[in-house]
Amino acid sequence: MRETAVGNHWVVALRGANIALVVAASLLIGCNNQAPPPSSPLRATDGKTYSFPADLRGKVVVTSFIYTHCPDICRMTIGRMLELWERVGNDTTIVFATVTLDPARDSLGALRDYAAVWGIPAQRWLLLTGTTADVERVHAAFGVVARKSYTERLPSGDEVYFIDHTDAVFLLDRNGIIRERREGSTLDVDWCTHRVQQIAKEQ
Amino acid sequence: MKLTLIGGTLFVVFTTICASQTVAIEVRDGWMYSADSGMVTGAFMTIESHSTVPDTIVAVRTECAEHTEIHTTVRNSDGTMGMRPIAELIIPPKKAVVLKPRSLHVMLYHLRRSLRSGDRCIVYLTSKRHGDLRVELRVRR
Ligand SMILES: [Cu+2]
Repeated sequence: MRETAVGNHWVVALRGANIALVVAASLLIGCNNQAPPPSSPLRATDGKTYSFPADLRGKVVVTSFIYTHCPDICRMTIGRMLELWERVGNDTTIVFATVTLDPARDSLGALRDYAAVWGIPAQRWLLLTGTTADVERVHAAFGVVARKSYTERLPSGDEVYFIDHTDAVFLLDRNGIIRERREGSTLDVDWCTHRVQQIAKEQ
Repeated sequence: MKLTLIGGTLFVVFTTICASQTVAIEVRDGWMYSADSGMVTGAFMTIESHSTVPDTIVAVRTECAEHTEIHTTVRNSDGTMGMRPIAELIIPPKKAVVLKPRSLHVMLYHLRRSLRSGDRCIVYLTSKRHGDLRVELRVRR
């Protein structure tokens, strides 16, 4: 009898703990952006290695995902990012980070060549790549999907593949928390300018 | 004097007739994104049919790139975006097919030379009914 009572107390205590856990979990899910995304080491076009995005904490980070063999969606996203840069690029509390969706082909050299073609500034706009595992961890941290969809052999013998990928850009505040996620290729640059400036003003 | 006048009149009449004869398939407003030698890039254009019968573009070639394909952009059920090569592009009669970002593009693999804003590149589309159609692409950022 006594044992049962003790047992019941335990059950009640466990139930209480469970409820607390469920409440805590739903709070986390409800405000799913309360914690910064986990970071991984990536190499950047400025020659440095960053634990990304943690090492950029203290700055508002405009984060985009592209691959250089993508002249359609990704080029549109870069176009939007360049427009946004023209509006907010002179604010030194803001940095741009463009992470590859294709670490196998997008070496630092390929990213630098790409930056040169599009006139992407060398200061405060990082293009980032790394090992497949690290880049994939960054994708996962942002909920970005990138997978090989189609491979073909060109008449030259070269093999080329395409990537099906998430079309998204993110705004991270100074605490490294993802505050906004929007479709990249169709981004409303007016809205984004306003939002970036708003986030940059926060203490 | 008379002969010259007649000749001139004939010339005007002749050129007027020629100008009023529209091509069956008109390719216009061609442009492409800049890229450096060896890179991959995309080209866009409008292909308009003035014909009453359907036509098909079966090939694309250019001296600017080592390999060329027509690509369509797809959105998958999970929201991801991608591109796929298509073997043929059907041009319906009296309709314009617009190759534009997020829809259709000509994929240029491995440019033979760097092409930057203001440069030009000639592309030939092969139509089933009308053979080679020439379009000049304006290179832009
Ligand atoms: Cu393509």
